[in-house]
Amino acid sequence: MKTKLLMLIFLGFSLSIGAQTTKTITGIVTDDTGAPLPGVNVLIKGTTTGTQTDFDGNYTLEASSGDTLQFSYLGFETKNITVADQAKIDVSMVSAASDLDEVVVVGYGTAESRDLAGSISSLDAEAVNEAPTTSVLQAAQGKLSGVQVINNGAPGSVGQVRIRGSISVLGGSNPVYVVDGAITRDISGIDNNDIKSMEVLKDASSTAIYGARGANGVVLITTKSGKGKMEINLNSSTGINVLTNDVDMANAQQYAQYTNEALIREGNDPAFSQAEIAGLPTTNWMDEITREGTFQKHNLSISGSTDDVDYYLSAGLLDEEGILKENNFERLNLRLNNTYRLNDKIRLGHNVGLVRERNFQPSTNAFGGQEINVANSGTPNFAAFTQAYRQAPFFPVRDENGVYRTTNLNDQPNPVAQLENNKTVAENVKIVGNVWGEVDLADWLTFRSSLGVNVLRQKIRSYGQQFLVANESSTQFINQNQALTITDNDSERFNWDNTFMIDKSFGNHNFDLTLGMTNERLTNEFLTGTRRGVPPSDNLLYLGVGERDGQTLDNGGDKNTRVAYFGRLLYNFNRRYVFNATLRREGSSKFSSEERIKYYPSFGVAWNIGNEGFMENQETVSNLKLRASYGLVGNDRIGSGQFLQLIDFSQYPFPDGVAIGGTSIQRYDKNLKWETTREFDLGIDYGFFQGRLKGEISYYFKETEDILFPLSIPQTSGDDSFITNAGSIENEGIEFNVNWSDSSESGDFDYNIGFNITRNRNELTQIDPVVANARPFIESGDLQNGITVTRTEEGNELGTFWLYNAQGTFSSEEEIAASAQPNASVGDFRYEDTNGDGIIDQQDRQFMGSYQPDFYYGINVALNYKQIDFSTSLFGNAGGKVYNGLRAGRRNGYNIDESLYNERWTQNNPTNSAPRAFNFVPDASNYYLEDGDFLRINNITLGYTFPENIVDKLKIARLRLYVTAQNPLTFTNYSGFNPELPRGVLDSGLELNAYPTTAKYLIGINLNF
Amino acid sequence: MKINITQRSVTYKILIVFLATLAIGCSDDYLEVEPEGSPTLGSGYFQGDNIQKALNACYAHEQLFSQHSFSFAGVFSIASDDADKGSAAGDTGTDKDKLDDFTHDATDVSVSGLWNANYQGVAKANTGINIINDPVNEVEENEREALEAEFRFFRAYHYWNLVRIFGGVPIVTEDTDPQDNETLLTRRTKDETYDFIFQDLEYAAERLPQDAAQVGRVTSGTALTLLAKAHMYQGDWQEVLDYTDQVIASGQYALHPNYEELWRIQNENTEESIFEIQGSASENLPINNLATVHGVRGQWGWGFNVPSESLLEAYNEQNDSIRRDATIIFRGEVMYDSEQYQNNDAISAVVSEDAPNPRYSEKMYTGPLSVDAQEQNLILLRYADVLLMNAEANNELGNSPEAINKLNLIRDRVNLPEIQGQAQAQLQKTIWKERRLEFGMEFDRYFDVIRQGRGQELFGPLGFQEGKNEVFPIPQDQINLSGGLLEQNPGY
Repeated sequence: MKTKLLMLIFLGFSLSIGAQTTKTITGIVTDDTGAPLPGVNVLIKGTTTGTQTDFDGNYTLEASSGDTLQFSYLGFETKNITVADQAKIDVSMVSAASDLDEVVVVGYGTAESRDLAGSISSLDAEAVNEAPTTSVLQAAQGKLSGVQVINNGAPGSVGQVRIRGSISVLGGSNPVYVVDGAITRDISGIDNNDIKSMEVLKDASSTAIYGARGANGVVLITTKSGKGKMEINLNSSTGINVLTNDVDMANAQQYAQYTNEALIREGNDPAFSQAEIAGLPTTNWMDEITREGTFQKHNLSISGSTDDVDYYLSAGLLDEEGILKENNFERLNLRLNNTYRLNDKIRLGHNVGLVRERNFQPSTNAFGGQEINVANSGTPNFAAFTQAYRQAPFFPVRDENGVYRTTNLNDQPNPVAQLENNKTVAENVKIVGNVWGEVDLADWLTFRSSLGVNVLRQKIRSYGQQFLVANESSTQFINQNQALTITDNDSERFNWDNTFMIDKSFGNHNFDLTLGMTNERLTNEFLTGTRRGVPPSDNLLYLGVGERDGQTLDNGGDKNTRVAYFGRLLYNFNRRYVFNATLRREGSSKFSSEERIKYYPSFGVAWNIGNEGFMENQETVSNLKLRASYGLVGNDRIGSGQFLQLIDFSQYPFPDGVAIGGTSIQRYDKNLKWETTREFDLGIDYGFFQGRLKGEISYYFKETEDILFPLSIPQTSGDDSFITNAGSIENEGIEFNVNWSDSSESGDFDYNIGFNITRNRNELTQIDPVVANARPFIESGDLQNGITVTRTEEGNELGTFWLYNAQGTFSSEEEIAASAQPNASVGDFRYEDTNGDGIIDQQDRQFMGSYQPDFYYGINVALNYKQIDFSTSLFGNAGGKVYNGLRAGRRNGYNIDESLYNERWTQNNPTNSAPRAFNFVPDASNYYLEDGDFLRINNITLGYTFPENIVDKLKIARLRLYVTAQNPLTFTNYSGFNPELPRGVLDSGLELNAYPTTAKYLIGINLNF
Repeated sequence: MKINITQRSVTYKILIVFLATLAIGCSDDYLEVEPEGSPTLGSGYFQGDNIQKALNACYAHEQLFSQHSFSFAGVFSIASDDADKGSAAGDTGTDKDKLDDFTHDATDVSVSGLWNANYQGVAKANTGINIINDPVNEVEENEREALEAEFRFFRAYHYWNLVRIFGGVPIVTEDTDPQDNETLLTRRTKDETYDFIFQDLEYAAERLPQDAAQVGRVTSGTALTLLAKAHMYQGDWQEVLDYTDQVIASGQYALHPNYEELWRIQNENTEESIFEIQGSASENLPINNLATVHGVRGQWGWGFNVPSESLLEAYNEQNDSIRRDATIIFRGEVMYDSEQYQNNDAISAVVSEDAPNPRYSEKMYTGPLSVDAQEQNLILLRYADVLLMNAEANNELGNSPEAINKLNLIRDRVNLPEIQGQAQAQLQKTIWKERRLEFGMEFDRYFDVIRQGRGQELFGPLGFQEGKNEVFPIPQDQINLSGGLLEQNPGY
């Protein structure tokens, strides 16, 4: 493997050794007072590649004679200089009243942000290149307004993203990702080091060009390319993963006491004698299943350009042990981004990422079955943490004979046995990339064709090794079947985009027109088989080794297509008055021929007040832009063939052989159509004091119509519901961000402080009467004991908790007699009889808030003083609710947390705060609902860059060492492991099978040659 | 190195490619995608031998967890005086505790699950009838009737479950428009529902073969037996007598000589079996978790639906040790297959002395390995039932001697003394008692007692309320969505 890697690297070298007819251009960029300007963008005009000036204003760039260099910097007028014979080009920038001329990536192209009327958040990807996360999303948490990232600590996991709220009940609320033009749902394979920029398109005028993909927002990721002199970068870090926010559980004595009390109240004999209790050993199951995991991440890249070729080759390695034993993630990634200039009119290129991942996940199903947890596919499910929370603490992991222990007092498995014997490994090979060609047909007209490719080859191997478990009365084998399941998932997505880009000005009228078409095909297929009796040896985990009896085999697939035409006009008059319009005609195979074509228009206007003549003679305001946009976007994220009556297959074992059955009793809506979102966006972009203070304020209102919702139908028809278009959801919000940056006159010290905050209001505003009359809500949030805790219903947020109101506990028999719970005991919860009918039933449940926060915010600070750099980022979440499903799911014989034990009602402690010991399944009440507020320090990094006199001697360009703490501190009052809970829209905020908060501590090195 | 081609030719080539793209993409035909791996219902898929698949789907339905497993055990057995919830004190099995003490209500999932599952069974039969009638599937006329007979048997079986659990229910046929809420939600009377069942079963009994084409398939004998049993629940004793006489006369069935071994794996589909749902370990196609629901807790399963003290006493009163020991697993019992595991330290077919319950259901025992549980078959109708129905009908119609003859066939097999010359009223009680002992833990008891009119007498001490608990509640969510059409049973 290593040899192959080296060969690839050398291949990269040899590619770069072409005819060096470009030359190196260096220079220094200063402001109008002569002070050097760091961070100035230097771009070869007409390309998307370039560089930035360093802290001393120096830049180095490879360019050819005739190229035009474009120097741009916030607060300064853009300068264009054509390269002639000179090797050194020094530039003095002039302050500009308008400074919003940064180039941003937009759908199917790039644009200067001052020419846009939409709302786009850009992430300075350099800042997150070394973040110790699987994906850039996790590192983006708290950095972008309007972009809510919900992280979790499982190795290989990516964050969950909600852009401006959740717009769909069933159609999915995740954004679409476009990586270098390739459409994908999974960006976990993209190394942070390879990312140049990430843009989040938030409003309809930006996203409508993605039509039916746009409604959840669009995340555009652009990977790096090479430019200039050959550069070799090494970025390497290593460290540990640590569990934070552990929960104190009852010890063996407390557990035994509580269990006895619960048994006695039910009229049973106590399980433990008082004499026995004192001598019980305590097992801390959380300690038994967790560890301090190691983490390492390395990336080596070679980049540069010649006359004909820009090249960027990188290889990365991520190897992480989770805090959960047996839970590891390995990733190897290679990237080759090249551009070939055939002549001065024609360019070809490719951006190709090749990724190989191995994800080791213990499957911890209570019955030893095949629970497959694969990162990137749905809610991560880590039952081990739930089992460790619940298992009784009074016996050791193994008994004196080395046999795993469990107890008859509860139904929980031995969590360690589950981890050690049930194993799932997912091996993924992913290709995400594109191949493109571009030709300049005229100096104002370019044609581009791009084929985006997103391929996943996944093999999941899941095996249950046989093991012995003993409880008080018997010993039994678990996983007697010794079953091995192998599942292959293949998925391919191609999107072929063809666009004409027209850029022309007539006097002060500037036009930028993009016209194009795209077609897209997604196919996937699975093949899965199981055999029993496979021996527990790593080299024998093949189906061929197993027995024929009991084998299973299944295979299936899916295919869907899209065709779309689109156009976008970006017009401005004299850079002051901006008008944008887009239209996309979208077709999707997921709908019947009557419903499959839909048009998505959008419009936007903006006024760059800062560019007006009357703003010329002042220095306070450097930029002021008012913008407004309106448009339609869609969502077609449903399965294929939902509008068709499909045959379901089954099998029946007649004694003379298995017979295949086939029938169809599903009802369906043949007129199923898109979810459509109308979005209005209003904003102000501002910059003061030469751009030192800058930011934006946005207001948005989104109304999603025709939301997919299940229509309940009489079960006598054979089916109980089908999906139809039946309601509306609103999201409304305000985003604010502000950034202050400045530097000392000497240039020794510069700093940047940013703050952003987002408020979103979400409501399911309406359900169509036909649906509402049948069943106007969806219940979700399954506690796995027959109880659900959320109800999504008209007038509430999606996934609102729907609970009994527990008003303390009963303190006397008189109180019980006077209540609506005549069968209760003293010390039991007293629930509010909301409707006063003298009975506590479902009618008394109330809506009590959802996981969706009232607002979330981020604080980001960066300081540089001479050789030292320091940065920190904080993320906070407020106003959301969290349901402690670990506590609430308790039933007989499960352990409890210590606080619940200490506060419980007893004769001697007639408290009103926690209930008396009990073994039954508690009702879904707000006793288990807590504030989900938290503030977390996401990252603290301290770095030291060696001074030039030292690195010069070492013959290297740059050497920096740094230490990082990721998630070191979380401030929260929540009693569980983690208030940050990525789950589905309908059941988010329920802590069950969730990964606890994990901190990382690392040291790292950046080395540039 | 520059590529030396004229700009113009490249430009034209690219334009041509682009136009070609437009031509391909332009056509919205690209959006016509046939669903992968799933044929559509009206596509003619069921032509030829595939027609059998529509029928196989009805058989496969009977293995569903929702149809013949946990909820089934709850309503048909735990609710009765033969069985208790079992399991462990805090494990309610969602609502099995409420079924056990008659506190269940219209929101409990065991009952609503059976409503749903049985109507799914009805829908599969109706869909099957529509499939054979759809010209696109080109079913030959001579083949069509036999197929329809088999579909109608399954439809009748599910309506029979529904009418017993809920009383009169909406009758949905192959002709019902799925949007016709009036039909879908209007309850018919109990008599109307039974009449519909009789029609279907008569149709099936006439056209189904006497000899099954395949072991495990239903036959005319299956339809006749169900016809007799459904009539027994309506008190139509002449029909019960006629149909059971037909079954007896067919000579297709006999009592298996060894009662105790009837539920063992080697005795699947014996001469006594009339309607038996198959489970297969080797094909990994179990009746979903049926055996696991019943297996001794802590050893082989979840330990629900355990024989009651009252059932044990009923056996002991009669000194009916053969059927007692075939029906009940006791703590410390050495199971019949324990010798196989003698030398195995970890696997034992000896019941723990500390098992959470004193008794478990033996008829659901297939062995101590989890894989064994998947082999469990479920016998829904067997020849002993035909004989006892025949005995009861004879007695009701005044032919006590013949009743006693049939009754004694049952008693002879388990070495119990023959009944001699009892008067009609006494003999009725004797036959009922015999039914309890013969069919202990076979999911027959609850509705057998109800049709005998003895609910209050026998279940009263357990919480049974006369006028209410003869039937179970219609699922509340179905009533909620019915806009007032679907009416709840009294008392719920």
